[in-house]
Amino acid sequence: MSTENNHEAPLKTLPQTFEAPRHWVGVEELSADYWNDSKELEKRGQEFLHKPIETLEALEKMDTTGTSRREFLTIMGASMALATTACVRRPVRKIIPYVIRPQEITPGISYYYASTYTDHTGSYGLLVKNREGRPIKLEGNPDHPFNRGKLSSRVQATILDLYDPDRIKYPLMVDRAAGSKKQSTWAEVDAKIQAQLKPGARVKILSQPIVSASTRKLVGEFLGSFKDAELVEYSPLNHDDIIEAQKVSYGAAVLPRYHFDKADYVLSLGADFLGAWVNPVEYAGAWNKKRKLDSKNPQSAKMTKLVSVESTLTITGANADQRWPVRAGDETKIALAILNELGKSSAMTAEKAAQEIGGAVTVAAIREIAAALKAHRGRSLVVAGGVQSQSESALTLQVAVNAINSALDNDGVTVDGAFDVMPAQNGTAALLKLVLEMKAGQVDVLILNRANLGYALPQSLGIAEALKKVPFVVSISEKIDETAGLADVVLADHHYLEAWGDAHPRASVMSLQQPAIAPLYDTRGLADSLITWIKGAKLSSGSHAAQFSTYYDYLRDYWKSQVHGKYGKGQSFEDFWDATLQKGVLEISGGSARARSLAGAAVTALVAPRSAAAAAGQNATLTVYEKATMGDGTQANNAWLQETPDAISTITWDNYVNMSPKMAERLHIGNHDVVEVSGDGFKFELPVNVQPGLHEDAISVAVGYGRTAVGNVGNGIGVNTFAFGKASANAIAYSGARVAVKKTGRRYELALTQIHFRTENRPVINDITVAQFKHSPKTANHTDPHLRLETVPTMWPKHEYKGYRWGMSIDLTACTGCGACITACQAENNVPVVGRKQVRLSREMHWIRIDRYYSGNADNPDVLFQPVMCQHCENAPCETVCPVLATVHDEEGVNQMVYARCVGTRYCANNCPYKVRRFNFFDYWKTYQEPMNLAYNPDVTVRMRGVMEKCSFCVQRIHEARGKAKDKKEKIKDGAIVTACQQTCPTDAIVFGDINDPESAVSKLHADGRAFRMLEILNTKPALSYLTKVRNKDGSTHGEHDLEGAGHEH
Amino acid sequence: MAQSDGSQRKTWMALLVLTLLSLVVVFIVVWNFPSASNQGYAPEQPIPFSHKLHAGTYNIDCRYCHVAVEKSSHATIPSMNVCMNCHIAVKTDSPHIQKLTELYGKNQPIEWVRIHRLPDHAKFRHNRHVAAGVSCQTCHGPIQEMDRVYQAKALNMGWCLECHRGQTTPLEIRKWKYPDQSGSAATGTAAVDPHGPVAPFNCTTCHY
Repeated sequence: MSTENNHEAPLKTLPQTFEAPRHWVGVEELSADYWNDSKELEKRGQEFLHKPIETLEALEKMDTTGTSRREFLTIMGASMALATTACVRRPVRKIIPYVIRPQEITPGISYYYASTYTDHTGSYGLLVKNREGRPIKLEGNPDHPFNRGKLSSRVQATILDLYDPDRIKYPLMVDRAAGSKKQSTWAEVDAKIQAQLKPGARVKILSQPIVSASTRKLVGEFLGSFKDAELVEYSPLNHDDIIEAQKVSYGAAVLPRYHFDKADYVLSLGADFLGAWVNPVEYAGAWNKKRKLDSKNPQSAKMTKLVSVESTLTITGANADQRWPVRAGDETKIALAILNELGKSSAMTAEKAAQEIGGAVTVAAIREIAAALKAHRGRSLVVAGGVQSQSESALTLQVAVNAINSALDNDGVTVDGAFDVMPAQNGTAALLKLVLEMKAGQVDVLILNRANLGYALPQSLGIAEALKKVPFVVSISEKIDETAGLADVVLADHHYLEAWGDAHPRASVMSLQQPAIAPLYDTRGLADSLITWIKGAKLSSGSHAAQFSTYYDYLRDYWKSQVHGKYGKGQSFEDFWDATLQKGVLEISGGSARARSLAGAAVTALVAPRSAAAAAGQNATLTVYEKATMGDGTQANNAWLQETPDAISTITWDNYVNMSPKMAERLHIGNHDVVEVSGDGFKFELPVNVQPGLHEDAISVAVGYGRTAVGNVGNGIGVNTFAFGKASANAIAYSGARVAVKKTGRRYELALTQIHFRTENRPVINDITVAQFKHSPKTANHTDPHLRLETVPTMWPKHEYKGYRWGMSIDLTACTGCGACITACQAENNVPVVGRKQVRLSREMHWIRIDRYYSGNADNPDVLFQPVMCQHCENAPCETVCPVLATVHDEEGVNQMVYARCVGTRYCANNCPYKVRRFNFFDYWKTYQEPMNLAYNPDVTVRMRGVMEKCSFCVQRIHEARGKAKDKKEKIKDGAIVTACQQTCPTDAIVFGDINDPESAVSKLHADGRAFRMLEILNTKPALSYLTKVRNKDGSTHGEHDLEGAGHEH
Repeated sequence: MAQSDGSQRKTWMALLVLTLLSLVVVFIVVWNFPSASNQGYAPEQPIPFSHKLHAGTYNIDCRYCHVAVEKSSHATIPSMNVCMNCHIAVKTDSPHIQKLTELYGKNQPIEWVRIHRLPDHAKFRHNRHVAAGVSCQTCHGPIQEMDRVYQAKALNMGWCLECHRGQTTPLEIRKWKYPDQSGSAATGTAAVDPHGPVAPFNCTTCHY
């Protein structure tokens, strides 16, 4: 097999008969040429770039200063000389103490505020870590029932948004006709606004969904004085299709709660519930609960089976045990065909669906899904939704899904639509109605609250024209965004970490949002503005709100009058308030899930979607999807998110067209080739990412790009796909448009990271099926015969670890590849951002990367994720080659990196078989403009140019736990040290602890039957072990070999 | 020959001049280069606060003002309300106390000049050292005798390590670390001067 030959013999002597590697990162590796072609080999053989440094300099002017490296050296040399002669004494530094020290602040000690963050992917309980008065890191609140202490990449990154230098710092007056904006004061803008708030005026508020019960009440009090007043709550990435279908099927417009932890069989029709759908952090955790494996008892292994039918490869699809690629809109056909198999509808048969969809979807496949669903009656769950399945038939899809869940008695068990639901907003339908009213001149005053209409709406709606018809528009925003120029007044909003608030995201949960820092700028939120205007314009409906001077008082009063009485449990209000504020969350019981009666008429009314008539040249169906990192583009100016590689494509900083290898072959294009995509009324150009696992006729493009007014980081990246949506009377369809894809002949180099830091097809990852696992958990080791060697001869002296020895375990079965760990590590360890050009040169600095591998058929491969960071080897190859001892072993097994000693030879990176060391080619920290430096963790050194760095096992957290244990005169308890990546992992895939203690969780995982170490044959003895990925599948993961042979083939 | 003698002399002269010049350059650099340790640094402070008076004469506990020294990596410079605890009544006729009171009234902090400073990549934790029984004077010198505080010790890495390795560690800490060698009156064993490392000296103990 080629896999074993790679490290035993040079690549050139590959056997004549080519066998593709079992795990591959790109389709090109499936051809013999890739491994044999001398040019390719030479290119990959180069550890460092072979271009002469001058060429690089000409190409790459430094992003930050505009100076080239050599000019930079010259300048630095000159300033060094000046510094040495001019400065006689060390610079005089000042220590400025507090005048009166706040009681909770002790310099050098972090303290935490419980708070809440809410966006379109749900509500998150937070513990905001503060140092010396500034928030520096977000951790999940373990008491919050949604995220249980975990966070997604996007929420982790919101800390950087707080310090975004492009935020609005004061209110602005806008001259809409001239297009000019000027700085104003709150008194001035309030006077202008209050003059417009005449009783009887037609005032509308268009807001992002309001989860705050108190704000909702306040808005009601404000709007009471006006004619035709209305609050429209709209999010560009919404679940209005689900909510509308719930109304049609069951009578109540709600967003149900899904119990993934009660399902043994999950069918996802496009819903990316592990990445971006509804409440991904909660659902990923719940889904993983039923996928735990016990290697001591493999015979009784049981896992939830996840089956995915989707039109682009999402994180959910990548983790699915079975997956079928379709085009956008085909999910509806599958749902109807399943419903037909269940005998509930005759809108579409399995035969017709299979014939229309084509590709891998066969009649047998549909029947297999239907049979499995029947077999798991009451223990299964069907979900659909997200922007990728919001095609023209989205409502049909959702009603069909409801019918399936009810037919299988899942409603009331895995779907809770009766008690723990999210109350519905009026959403898309109300927005579309409002736009019509605006166009008809029926709106006098429009207040936009964090609703970026100028960006996140289809072009065809003509929103700019509609806004021109509204005499007075107020926009509340954190940025001078695409809507700012369309408003009369732009009000600078708080970041959520600066503001008070509360949230009632679902019936069972209420939480408080507590500010962790005083507003950095002259900002004010919607609620405080409403109170000011109620008083200023003397609105009669606002007599209650007018009693309060700030929203904080209003909020307290709301909790006193509405919440305390019901849930106070005999406490005084002050005690109740303090306790809730400290805990951050209030759990409400008093209901349970129950089955609802399904409206039969809704099911009989289901009709098969029309197949879109393709015009000439229209050769593909467009899917618009949401990336787990980029979301709806609100955070596009966040450099951490831009540089976090996409879980599937591993591309940073750009927007691209995903296309199946077959389509790419048909159009004679490859990665980085720019294509023109034209559809009904739109046309755009983007580079291509050849993406295995897509339907042959499907292309997909992410939303959240194409921002033009978000800030220096996010402006002008990619294309805004919201603009191509198609609005009907009460819904917007983003996916499912027929388009023509044409080659342009141009190239644009995408900053793709999976090709960096490769291990050259050495066997580094294992995956098996449940069947293999039952046979033997150790079956995995078939990928490398050497892994089965019990002892490897060594020339190194053995290390002795007398006290602790730190180690880590990563469960590849639990890892979904979501990337939360990357951002958490970046925030914790001051990991710099390098920018697109540097990523292209494989100079990204992330201390943890997630390698993505494919196996199997290129049309529909299995996907594997493997987080890789420093393995903290016992016999570390990096340590032996460092000429200045800048990287050495400590007595607790941690491979230490001493920045002050490092002279930048990069020998260590060269010698590291795992390619986890990162070199500071420039002073990347200079890319942080003020006040972004406030986000730095003061416990971790900021590294300068010329220094190597890598994962430290969060040594600052080890020290913190050690200090606490020493104060109590005890050993560090297992679980007392939680690394940043482990802390945030939604599926608890990462475990850290003392491997010298046989009772620690990590020791037990190291001894697990599934445990393997990366490249064990090299005798590096890593302190990090992985647990083999297990798929809930029959048969074997390695082709046609029978089970009996699996463990013994070599 | 004469000619070659001349050229040889010229070469020698050139070499001499070059050597002198480079000596001058080395001299200038060495003279001007900021000292790595700053031992003895005693800058003037905005208010001539005397540790000799407060800590020496009046014997006020260091922790009365440096409140975080047992909890945090920073000992912390006292916030001004701590000064005002006493000086709202004590010695209010002094112009310095009047200056202090005035600043306090205006909610303006005093900008003290920093004396002891480690580089950013060296993480020193006051609380761990205090918990291990290291006295303030071990690193800060006879602070109770200082009218104007100066940096008494080198505070460079070699100096830290000498103590961690047990070479310059105060005897009481060594005894605390190696109690079985400290001797006992009951059993009649004589005290041994214990030696050996008393604290970790991994790189990441201080650098991360």
